Amino acid sequence: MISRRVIRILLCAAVALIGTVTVFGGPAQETAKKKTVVELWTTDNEEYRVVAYEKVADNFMAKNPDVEVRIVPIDEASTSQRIATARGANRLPEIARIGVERVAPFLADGILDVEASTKVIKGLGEATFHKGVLDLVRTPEGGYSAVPYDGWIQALWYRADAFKKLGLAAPVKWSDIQKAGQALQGKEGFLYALTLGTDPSQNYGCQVFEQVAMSNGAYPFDKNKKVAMNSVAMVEALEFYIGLQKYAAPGPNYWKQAREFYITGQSATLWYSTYVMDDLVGLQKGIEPTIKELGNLTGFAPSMVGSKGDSATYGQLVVMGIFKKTDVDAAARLLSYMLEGQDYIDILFLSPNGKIPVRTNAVDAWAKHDIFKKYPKDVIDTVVNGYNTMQRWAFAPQMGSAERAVIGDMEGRLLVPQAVSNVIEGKMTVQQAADWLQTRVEELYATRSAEKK
Amino acid sequence: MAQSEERLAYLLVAPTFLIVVGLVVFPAFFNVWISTHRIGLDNLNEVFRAPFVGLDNYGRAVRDYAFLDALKTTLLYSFSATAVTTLAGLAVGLLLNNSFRGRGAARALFLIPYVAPLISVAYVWKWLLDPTVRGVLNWILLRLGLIAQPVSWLGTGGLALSIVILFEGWRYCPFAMLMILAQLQAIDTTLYEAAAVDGASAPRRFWSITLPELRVVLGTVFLIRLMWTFNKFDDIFLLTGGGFGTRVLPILTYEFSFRLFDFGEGSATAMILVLILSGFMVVYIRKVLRW
Amino acid sequence: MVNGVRLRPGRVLFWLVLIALLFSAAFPFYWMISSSMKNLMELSGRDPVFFPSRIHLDAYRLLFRELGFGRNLANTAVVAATTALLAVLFASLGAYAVARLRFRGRNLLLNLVLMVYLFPGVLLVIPLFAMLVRIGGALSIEVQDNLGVLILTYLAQTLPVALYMLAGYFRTVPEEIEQAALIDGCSRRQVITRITFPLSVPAMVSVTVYTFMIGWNEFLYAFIFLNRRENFTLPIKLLSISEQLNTRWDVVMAASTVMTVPIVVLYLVFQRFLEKGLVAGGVKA
Repeated sequence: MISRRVIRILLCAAVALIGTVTVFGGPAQETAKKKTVVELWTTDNEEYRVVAYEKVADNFMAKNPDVEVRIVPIDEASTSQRIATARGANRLPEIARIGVERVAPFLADGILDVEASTKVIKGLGEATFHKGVLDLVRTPEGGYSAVPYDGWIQALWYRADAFKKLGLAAPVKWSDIQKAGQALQGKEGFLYALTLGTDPSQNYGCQVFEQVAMSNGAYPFDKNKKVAMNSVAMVEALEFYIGLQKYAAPGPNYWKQAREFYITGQSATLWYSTYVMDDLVGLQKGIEPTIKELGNLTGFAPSMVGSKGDSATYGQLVVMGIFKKTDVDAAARLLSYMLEGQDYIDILFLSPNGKIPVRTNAVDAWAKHDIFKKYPKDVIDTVVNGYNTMQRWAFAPQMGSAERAVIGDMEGRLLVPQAVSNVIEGKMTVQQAADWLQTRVEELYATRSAEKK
Repeated sequence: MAQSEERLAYLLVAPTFLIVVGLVVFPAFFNVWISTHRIGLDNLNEVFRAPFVGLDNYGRAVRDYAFLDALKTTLLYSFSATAVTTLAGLAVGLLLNNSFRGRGAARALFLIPYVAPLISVAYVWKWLLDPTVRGVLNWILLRLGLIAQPVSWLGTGGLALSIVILFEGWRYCPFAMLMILAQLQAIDTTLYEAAAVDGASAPRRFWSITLPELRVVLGTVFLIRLMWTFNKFDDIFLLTGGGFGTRVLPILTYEFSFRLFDFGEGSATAMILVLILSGFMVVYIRKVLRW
Repeated sequence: MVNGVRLRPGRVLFWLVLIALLFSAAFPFYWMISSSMKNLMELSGRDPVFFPSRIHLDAYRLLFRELGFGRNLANTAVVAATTALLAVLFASLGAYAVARLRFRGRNLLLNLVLMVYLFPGVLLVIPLFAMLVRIGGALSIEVQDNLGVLILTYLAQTLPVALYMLAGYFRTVPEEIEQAALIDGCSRRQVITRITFPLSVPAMVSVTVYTFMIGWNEFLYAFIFLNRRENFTLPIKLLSISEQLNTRWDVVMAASTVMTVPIVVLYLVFQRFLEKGLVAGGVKA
C-alpha cells in the first residue's frame, strides 16, 4: 500500500539531485574527448598575471588547435594540499609551478614525469640554459626532473641612508648585522630594525634561516650524510638568527609584514627576494612606499658572511613540474612554447626583477625592462648572475636524492619556523630547539631511506 | 497493516539513511581502514592496494613530537572554551530573564555572533587584534597606557590560546543562553515567592533554587558544546593556523595529511580523537547526567 | 512580570553589564561594516578611525568588478538553497516515519543520528574524498570543483540534525487529528501533506533556514573539494582574498560584510522559528 505519490516525490527528489550533480558537474569532461586539455597551475595568481598567462596560452592554442590550455591560479599556501587532493582524485594538472625544493620529494613519490621534462630541455637545447640552473634539476641518471622557468635571489635590503648616517657598515657580516640591529631599533624614526620570519605556518622563516645557516657552514647533513641539525655550526646559526629578534618586530610575521614594515618606513631592513625591487620604486600596484625615493635610499646585500668568514647567498629556482599519467606530450609542447621568444619575455615581464630568465638567450631582451634603469649596474649584474651564485641546502655536494627529499619534507613540515617560534616564545632554548630539529629530521630521513627499494 | 507501515517507513527514511550511511558512516569505517595502512602521496589514488601496517600509524602518531602537546592543548582548550561558553550563556540568560524595555531587541542582537558566518567573524577578530597599532584593541590599550608596545594577540604563545577560548565563548554563548533561558523561564515562580517569604536573600535564592533547576540543562549544554569544540577545526585554523600554542588534535590531523602527506597517520590521529571523546562522553553521561 | 532573580538594588549594575555585553557582541560587526567603507588612509593609519568620514565603496567595487565576487556569491546561494530544500524534503519524510510509524531499526536510526556528530570533519574528509573519487571515476563524474558533489556532502552533514529536529516537532502534532483523517479514508500521503506538514511549518521553516546557513558558511569541505576560483564558495573566496600579496583589509571586511548580511537578515526575519528549532534540536556547530 505504498502510495504512488510518495514514490513520485522520492523520484522527483532523486532526479533533482542527479540533475544538480550533472548540471553543476565539474570541468567539462566532454570536451576532453575532442581536444587534449593541458591544465597549468600557477602561483602567479594576481589577476593581471593570470591574464598574461592566458594570453600566452591563447598564442599557443592558435598554433596548436588540438590542445586546450587551462590556466588555474592557486594560492601558494594551499599548493601542498591541492596537489595532494588532486593526486587522490587522479586529477593532477599537467603542469604546476613549484619551487625547486619540492621537486625532490615529488620525485621520490614518483609523481613527476622525468622523460617529458628532459624532452623539453633537450628540445630547447641544454646549452641555452644557465649552467647552474640545470644542475639543480638533474637526476642521477642524467635526465631532468622538472623544467626550470624563472627564479630570484634573496638579499637583505637596507636603508643605506640611515646606515650611512650612523656610520654602519653594510649588513653583510653577522657582526655588522647585529650592530645595525642594535643601532637602529627604535631609532631614527624606525620602530624596528628588522623583521624575522616568526610565523610558524609560513615558509619565509626557513628561507631566511637557510641563508644564515649556510653562511656559517651549517647544513642539515654533513659530509658523511649524517643528520647535523644540532651541530655546533647550526646551533650558532640558530642563536644568531633568534638573537636578532630583540631588534625585530613582534608577532607572527612573514614576508608580508616584513615588506610592509620596510615600505612604510617602520623597519630599517628587509630580507626579501628581488621581487621587492618594483615595490621599492613604486611600480607595484597596491602598496606604495610611504617613503619617497625608497629605491634610491635602499642598499642591497645579497651575501651573508658568517662567523667563520664563509659567504652564502640564497635564491629560488621556480620550475614547472610535469606530472606523470597526464597529457605529458601536450604539456611538453606547451612548456617548450612558453620558454621561447616574446611569450617567455611577456611572462618574465610580469615581474622582471623577481623572474630571472633561465635561458641565456632571453637575458638581453629581459634586461631592457624599465625597472632595471632605476637600479645601478652592479645590482643588475648580481641579479642576472644569481643562478651562478645561489646556494641552497639541497644542492650542497653531499646531498643525494634521499637527503634532498628530506630537506623538501623539512620545508613542507615547516620545522625550522616552528623551532624558531618555540625559542622566541621561550618554550625551548636554542640547544633544545636544535636537538628537537635533529630528532625530527632523523625521523624523516629514516622514512625516506626506507623508501629506497 | 503493520507490514505496509514498515515498508512505507523504510521508503520515507531511505534518502536520509542512504546519504548519511553512505557519506558519513561508511567513510568513518573507511577511515579506520586508512589508519591501519600506509598511504602517502604515491599511492593515494590506489588506496586499496596500500600496505597494511597494523597499529603502526597509531604508534607513530602518539610518539610524534607534536602529539602530547596537541592532546594537552585540545583538552585545555575544549574544557575552558565550553566552560566560558556555558558561564557566559548563564550570565546572559539570567540578564534576559528579567523583563525590560528592548528585551526582544537585545535578545536578537545577542544571537548575531552565533548566526554570522564563522569566516567573517574570524577575520574581523583578526583585524581587531592586528599586532600593529591598526588593531583597535592595541590602540585602545596603548591609549589607556596599559601596554607599552602593540601586542601580537594571536601570535604569542599562551595569549593566542586565551584569545581563541574567548572567541569560542563569544561566538557560542548565545546557544547556551537560549537553552538556559528556556529553562529559566520554565522555573516555577512560586518557589521564589516562598523563599522570599522565608527571608532568603537573592544570592541564596540563586544558589538554592535556580542552580539546581538548571542542573540538567547546564550539564547538557556543557556536553553538547564540549563535543563540538573538541572536534573543531575551522575556528582555530582560521584564527591562528594552529600556531603559537593553539595546535589542537584536529589541526594536527590536517598537518599530517596535507603537509606531510601521511594520510595513515592523519587518520590514526583522528581516530584517537574520536576514542577520547567517546570515552569521556560515556563517563560523563553515566556520572554527571545520570541518564 | 515575575523576575527569576531580583536585581533591584543593583539595577544600575544590571544595565551596565547588559550594555557592556551587548556592546561586545555588536562592536565587531560595526567594525566590520565600517572598515569596509574606509579609505586606505583611514584603514592603515597610526590611529584607527571609528567613524569613516564618508562612505567609500571602493572595496565593494574591487570585490565585484575585479575579483569576481558575484560569481562566488551566486555559487554559495545556489549551494545553500539547494542543500536547504533537499534537506528539508528528505528530513521531513524521514522524520515523519520516525515520529509516527513503527518499524524495525527506528531506535537505531535515532541513535545513529546523534552518533554521527561524534566524528569530526577532519576525520571524514579524507575517506569521503577518496570514496567519492572512486565512485566518480566509475560514473565518469568529476568530483573536484563539482558543486553538486559538495551539496551531497552538506546534506550528509545536515540531515541528521534536521531529521532529529523535525521528528521532535512532529511528535508534538496531536496524533488524534491524523488518526481521524486516516479513519475518514485519507491515505497516509494525504495525511502527511495536508495535515502534518502544514501544522509543522515553523519547524520546517526553521530547518530550512538552519540548513541554508550551514550550506552558506561551510568551510572545510569546500576548501578540500574546490580548486578553481570561479567555483569557490564565499568562505574559500574570502580565504583567498585575505592571502593576497597585499592584504587589503577593507576588501576583506567588505567580503565579510557581503557574506554576513544576508544570513543576519535571514535570521532576523525568521528569528522566532529559529530559536524554537535551535533549542529543540540542541545541536549546531
